[in-house]
Amino acid sequence: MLKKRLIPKLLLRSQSSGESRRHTLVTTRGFSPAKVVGNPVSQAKIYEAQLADELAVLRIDPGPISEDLRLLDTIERLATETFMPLTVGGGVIFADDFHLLLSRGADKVSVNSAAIRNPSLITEAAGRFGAQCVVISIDFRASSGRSEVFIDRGSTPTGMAPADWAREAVRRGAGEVLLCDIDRDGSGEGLNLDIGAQVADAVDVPVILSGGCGRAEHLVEGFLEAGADAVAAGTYFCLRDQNPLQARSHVANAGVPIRMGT
Amino acid sequence: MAARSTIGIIDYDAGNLRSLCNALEAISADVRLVRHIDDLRPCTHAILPGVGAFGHCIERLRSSRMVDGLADWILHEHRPLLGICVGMQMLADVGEEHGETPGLGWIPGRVRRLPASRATRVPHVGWNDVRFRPPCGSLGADFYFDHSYRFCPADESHSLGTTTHGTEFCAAVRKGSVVGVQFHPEKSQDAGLRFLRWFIESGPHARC
Amino acid sequence: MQRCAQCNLPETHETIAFDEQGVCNVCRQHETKRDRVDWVGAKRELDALVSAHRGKADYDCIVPFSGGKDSTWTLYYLIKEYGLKPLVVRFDHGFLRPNLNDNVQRTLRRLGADFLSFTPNWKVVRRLMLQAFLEKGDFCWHCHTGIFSYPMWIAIEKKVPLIVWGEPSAEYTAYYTYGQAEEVDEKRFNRYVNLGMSAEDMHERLGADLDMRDLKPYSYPSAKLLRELGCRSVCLGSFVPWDVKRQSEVIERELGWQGDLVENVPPQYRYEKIECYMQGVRDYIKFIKRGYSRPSHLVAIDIRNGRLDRQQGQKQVEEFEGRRPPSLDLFLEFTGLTEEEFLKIAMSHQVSPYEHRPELTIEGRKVPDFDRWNREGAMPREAAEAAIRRWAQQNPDAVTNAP
Repeated sequence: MLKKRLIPKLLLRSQSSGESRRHTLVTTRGFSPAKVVGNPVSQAKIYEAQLADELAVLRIDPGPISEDLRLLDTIERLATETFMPLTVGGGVIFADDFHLLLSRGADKVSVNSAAIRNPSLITEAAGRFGAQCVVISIDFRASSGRSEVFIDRGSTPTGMAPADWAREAVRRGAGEVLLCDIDRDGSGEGLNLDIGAQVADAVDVPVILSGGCGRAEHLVEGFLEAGADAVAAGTYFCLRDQNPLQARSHVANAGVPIRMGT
Repeated sequence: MAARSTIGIIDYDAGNLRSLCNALEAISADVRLVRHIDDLRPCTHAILPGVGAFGHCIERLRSSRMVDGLADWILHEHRPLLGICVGMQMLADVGEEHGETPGLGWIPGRVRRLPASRATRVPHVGWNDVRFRPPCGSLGADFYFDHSYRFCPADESHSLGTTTHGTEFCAAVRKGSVVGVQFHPEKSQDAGLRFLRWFIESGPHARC
Repeated sequence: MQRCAQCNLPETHETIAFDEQGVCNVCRQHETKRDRVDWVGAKRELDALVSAHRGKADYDCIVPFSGGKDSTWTLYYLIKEYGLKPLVVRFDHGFLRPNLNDNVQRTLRRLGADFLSFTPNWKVVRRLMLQAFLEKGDFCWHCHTGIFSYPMWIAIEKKVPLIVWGEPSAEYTAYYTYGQAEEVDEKRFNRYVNLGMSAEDMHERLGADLDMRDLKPYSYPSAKLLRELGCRSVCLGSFVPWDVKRQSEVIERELGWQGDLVENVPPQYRYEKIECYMQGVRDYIKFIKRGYSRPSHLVAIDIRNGRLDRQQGQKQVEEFEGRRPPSLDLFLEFTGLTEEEFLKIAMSHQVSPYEHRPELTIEGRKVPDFDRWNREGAMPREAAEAAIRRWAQQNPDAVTNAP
């Protein structure tokens, strides 16, 4: 049977030191960069050695990804030095961006703000590259007593409920949904199980839940209570004595089907 | 492996070849990108990758003008070829994505959509266990899948391995010197490397 | 907490998984080791490996060495069984105990081998200890990475491709199993040795204000360099079944190797972890995070080998585990932390479902050579405060979420 997945989230931010620029990995708190935690390629290799099921590599700098040549090189290097499923996103605007990233080594491409502004992007990308390559990334936060989808890295409200937008995006061709609770991001308080369950109930495609993992129990809750197919975690693996190998044992011991072999 | 094998990866601009090259190099095989059928000459094995829509991939492959040469390679020279993901699906007679599209017809069968439900979500994404028919049982492990369509072989004897997602369906096929796998061995870490090693060393003719 | 039905290790042990009988994967690995590994075939592989490298370079192999029971046994075995000419390489983590040095001298004189020891810059070590403790709740990053990286650089420099380590990790955890050939390579380094941080990552976490050259001893050499060397980096315990009790008896008898009392461990385990005087603090932190430590681990081994039953084991554990080690005073000096800060940081790394109760902690006993341990090189308080402040700023929830 199909196993549940643990997906480390790698957030890339451009950093300068003196004359040079490089991409570093950061953790975020409520989507604000909090801490530099390492080098992207080094961390990807480490997660691969630790048998992570997939990697989600998300660029958090502003601007179109197609113009970030250094980032594209980093993705290419990363894809050359690891061979595990890679989802890449952050500043994807056009269907051609899918081609660009897939040709640099990504297996799936995630799209967020651009899909809300231009939903036909989803249909075009799914038509050209297949739904299995198209991940709709949905960020949400509490607003006036309910959960609302925000774009532009959490700064612009859309007036939509996560489950409604998820349903629409999937109708247009998205093959997977990546949810993130902005308020819980980096907090360690636990995932938003209510919204996770609502979205899982609204669509027939796999749902990846993220935002807030702080204890191994939170991962288990994401799978068993929210019904997520995968849990993505950024801060969780970076700032604690934790790694995917330890996490998956904990998840397996709770009775969740997860890949255990090497 | 005794002598190094030379693997020709059919490069018809329909997929990410990087990981595949990596994986093959990791198991000490020489890799050659085949953009023209002559590039296949010095190769001992061929791999047909494929990502995206069936129709799109078939069209690109035909435009590359390598189809006849590949047919020769497998049907007359009986050389080993491995189709991966849509590369496996293209081996069929027909694909049912966006209407009916003729495939290569090298292994009889049809490519049909996986039925979706809340319990059985499609695309089928993630790690799933593949059971290989005896005597290849020892290849069995969890492999990485990411697809919405699956190969339905017309002849059960061509099914090499199955997996279950809602229903049981074909995850690997074999006929003559041709093998096809729905999963991505180049993304499936140790199990994937073991499978690629099997394909290269024992090949489709092997009794495992 | 759920525990193994056989050896009693808790669910917080790294990579532990329980089967339908409630028995853990480490126990099952030992069954594999005992019943399903072809040790005759494995020994033949080792014979072949040895003869392929014998006499080909200035040294037949590199033996990474601490002077503890495992590396002493490995050196003894390679010289006695094969008459090899090894280069013995030690990475000095900064906390070698006096008795250990006596052992090392005695061993080297009785066996005869060239010996290289490297002691990294203490000021760098001190910074790394504090940072690793903050980041991952484990201050031994410099030691883990140094021990596994430094000998590789020596192998490259001296052009000696064969490196022979001691016990395979499958003895204690399920990062690898007894079915697999465990190469001591970069993948293993990344899988669990470096705590998820390469030297490059650590450099970023330190704020990128350290000279990268200072981190070379902790950096794993590139795959390219090791390929060019033709490197084979293996565990002796992959070819010869590991038996710590028997091996300790042999080195005691043949080399005059002497065990030592270690903090908060039952005295009959005199062969265990004698090489480091920070061992007590390491165990204490593990207890705070995971609710068990070395005594449970040692007792589990004895239970698996039929030398103790669960009840006897339990008693031993209760008597020694989780006490505050006297060496904590040294650790606080080395890192510039107060005890309150230490506890807060350690507790922020707890592994669920364990919840530590500091009010239940009792003081542990000093071991005889405590007063001879080097206390030189305390971290200036301002430097410690700066590091803690940076960490707390970037990681506010770590401290507030500590239950």
